[in-house]
Amino acid sequence: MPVETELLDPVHLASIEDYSLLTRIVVDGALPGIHRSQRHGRGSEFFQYREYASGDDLKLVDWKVYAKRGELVSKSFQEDTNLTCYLVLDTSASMGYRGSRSPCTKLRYACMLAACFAYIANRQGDRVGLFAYSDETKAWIQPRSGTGHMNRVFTELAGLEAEGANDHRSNWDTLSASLPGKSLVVFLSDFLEAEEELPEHLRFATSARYECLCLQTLDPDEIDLPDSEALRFSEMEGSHEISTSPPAIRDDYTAGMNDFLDRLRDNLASVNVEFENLTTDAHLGHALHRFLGLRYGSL
Amino acid sequence: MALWAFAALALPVIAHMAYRQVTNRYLFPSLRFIKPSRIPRTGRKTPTDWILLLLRVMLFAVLACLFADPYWKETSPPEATKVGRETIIALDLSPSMSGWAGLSEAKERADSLLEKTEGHVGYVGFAAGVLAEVAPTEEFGLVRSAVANATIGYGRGNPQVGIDRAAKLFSSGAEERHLIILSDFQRSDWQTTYRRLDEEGITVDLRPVGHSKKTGRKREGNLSLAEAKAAPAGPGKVRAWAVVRNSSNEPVETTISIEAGGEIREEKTVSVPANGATQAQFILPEGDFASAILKLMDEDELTVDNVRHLWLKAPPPRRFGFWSSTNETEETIEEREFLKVAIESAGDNGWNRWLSVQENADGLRIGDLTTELDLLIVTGIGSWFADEKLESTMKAYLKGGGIVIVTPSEPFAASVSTLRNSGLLDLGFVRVVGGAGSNREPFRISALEPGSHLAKTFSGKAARDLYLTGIYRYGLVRPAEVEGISTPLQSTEGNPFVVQRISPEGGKLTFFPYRLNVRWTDLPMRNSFLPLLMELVRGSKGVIDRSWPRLESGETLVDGEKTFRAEQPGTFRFLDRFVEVALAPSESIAEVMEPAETIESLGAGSTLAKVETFGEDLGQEDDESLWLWFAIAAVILFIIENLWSRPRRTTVLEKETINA
Repeated sequence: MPVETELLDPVHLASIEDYSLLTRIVVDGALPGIHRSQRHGRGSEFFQYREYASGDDLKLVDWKVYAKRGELVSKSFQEDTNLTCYLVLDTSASMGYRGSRSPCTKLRYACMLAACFAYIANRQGDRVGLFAYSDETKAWIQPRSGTGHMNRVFTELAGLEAEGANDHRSNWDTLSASLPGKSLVVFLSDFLEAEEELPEHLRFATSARYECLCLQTLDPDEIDLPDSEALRFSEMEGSHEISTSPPAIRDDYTAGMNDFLDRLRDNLASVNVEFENLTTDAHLGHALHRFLGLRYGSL
Repeated sequence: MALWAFAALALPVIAHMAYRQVTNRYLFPSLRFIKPSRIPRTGRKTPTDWILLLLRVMLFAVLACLFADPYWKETSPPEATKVGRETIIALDLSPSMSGWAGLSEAKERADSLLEKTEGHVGYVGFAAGVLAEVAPTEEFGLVRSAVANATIGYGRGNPQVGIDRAAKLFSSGAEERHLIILSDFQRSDWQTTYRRLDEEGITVDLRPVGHSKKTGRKREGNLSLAEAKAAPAGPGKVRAWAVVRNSSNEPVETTISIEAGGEIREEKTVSVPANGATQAQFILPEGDFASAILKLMDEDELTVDNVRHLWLKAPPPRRFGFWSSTNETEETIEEREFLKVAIESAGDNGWNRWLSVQENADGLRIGDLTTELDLLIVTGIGSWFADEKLESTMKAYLKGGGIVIVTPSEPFAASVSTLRNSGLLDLGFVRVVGGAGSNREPFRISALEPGSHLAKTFSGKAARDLYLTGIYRYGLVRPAEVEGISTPLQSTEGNPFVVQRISPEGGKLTFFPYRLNVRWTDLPMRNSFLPLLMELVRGSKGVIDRSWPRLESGETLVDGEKTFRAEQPGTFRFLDRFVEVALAPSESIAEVMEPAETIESLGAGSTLAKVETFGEDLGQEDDESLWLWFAIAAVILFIIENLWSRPRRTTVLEKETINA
């Protein structure tokens, strides 16, 4: 269930430029306890004692302590998850759109989510990688863990700009060739006009070793058009222009957009890809829950 | 009238109610589901739009006021306005003002102005010059009387004189100086007028009159006798010839009559094309009448140019005579007689005649410089010229603009030394070239200097005839290189065939270095001889003209100490001449100046100068124009409107629509 708190409202978060601070606010402030920190259980490295609970494996009971104190305590170990979280961002020009109802651009919204995902994953000991592209690769950070690595990811995210046309094919080919085993791939994009092409590139998700989550970030204007009597629309990733009256075409547009979203969802589902549609005025909580749910489900 | 511009207030309202939104470029991620549609035509409904509408309505209202040129009525005490304010009424009395009821309208307006004017008032009436003036005075009656007695002058209008005089009439201590010009602003009179009255602190008020039938820059309905001449028409007859000009945009049929001896002798109806002219001719018996009057019988807008007076008397012939040695050789006699016949035949059978008057030449020879002689021919100049001490007489004759032709005698050296020693022509003699052997291969005339008046006369066949001229003998002379001496004809070798000296006073001495007979040259036998002779004797003031003087009203004719001043059109006798006086043809021109052009000439850029369109109510001369304030208000409103309606930025990439 999504957490509805002002701390997750993009209206407030959009003004925070420091992703390190932003992620601490979101994850530590707004979502206390919603995520498990590091996973405890069977592992090679002792982590701590805890009171025995019914159902615990008797192999974990430290009998020496019982002999000394007469208390049943179970040993817990830090678990080696061996999971890689790959964050993939579309930085094409269309991601730079910001309508009058939105607090930030689609790219900024995607970057905020990506930063939060990276922070959570790092806290849980996962390696985090970053891959950003439009018509060419804009940023590519190989998966690692640690605070220094996180800072590097945040710095890269802060430097991303929306420009160029997207080229899913060549960039996904590049990324697919270097995806490590057992990975969680989170793909943040507007997926415009990609409902037929993209599922082919994400077919790797059908493998049990991979999980893929596609988070579509759209501006509210893209759902039902801007509120204006007449506009001369110009394509952000092209030179095509159309003069029209939004009220006159709103119904047709909305129907077309919904059809597009349905087909995108269905096509992604056919290759075992999780899909979530987000608008840039929506709280970040929903997206975070989806991420956490997938993260734990992948273990 | 200008307040009709308030109707323009409807424009922004209509535009506002029926405007179509025009969009600026709006960047959007994908146009995949966006289809073109009709842009709605909607009215404005939001409060912001109503403010914009109000702004635009105010802008149009201010512009309407600006064009209406309203005035602020002065409410200061009468004593304050009367002291120090001077107004001068300048009234154009050029002949064109008699047409299109210009003068009567001007008088009415002047009377009306005098009733409303305060302070001191003056008057200047002008045509070719200042006809009447009244210095600024409190006695308005003087000005009223001057205006009432104003009559049309005959001279060609010269507004510059009137404007200059009016500017000088203002007293230096006047606090306000105001010049009101009542004129038809006829283009031919006003186009060269210029005086920056605004820089002298004089406000100018132009009052066009006589424009009741104006179409654009032109007035309608004038026929004029543009030209009239008399010429012989065969034995015992004289032809009167007239040109009728129509300045209307429609062809006109009119009747022209000729009056001679107190009776109308003939009438002719002619059709004159629109904006064109046509001719009419009348044949009268020669000698029956001394003068005639040509008249257009039909009334038109300007009547003073419907009459032309002309003399029917033949003008006197041009006179010439000879000087030669008292012991004339046969060769000299032959040359003189030949030249006499040739020159007399140079004129036509009509009024352009040459007449040999030897007694006048003889009178000059004995020192009578008052004698009438247009051309003096000295045949066979030699030592006899010096012996008779004729050089001083000839110099005086040349100084008076006389024309002289000189031929040599033998020995040739004596002719040259006579000319040089007398100071008439500074020549150096080399030798006599040619002889009997040259008859087969004579010397030829070289190509005329391009651009010379001889070259203009002799072109084509005429030039060919001149270049075929054979000169068998000639004296090779070297003219001194001094100012005034030229060689209009040269041999192909570059030696002078004609030497000319033009004196500063206009006199011209032409020396042929060969005798004008067949032993020296065949030039006198050629068709080109007489034209060459006439061109060579052409004075610095042109061809000797003995036709009767024809003057425009306002011009003067001076003869000695006597002066004839042309005023009223007609035929007049001045000494021994018959003078025709006609109205200046430019006064018949129907074109008038645009007020803006006149303002430009009299003080463009002056914020005080203003133009009143004709037909507008008189008065308000003492009020202050508010046009500048309305102009400032219009500019401010325009800027606010622009700022208000400019596109407003709402997001980084979004551009809002602009409402046209």
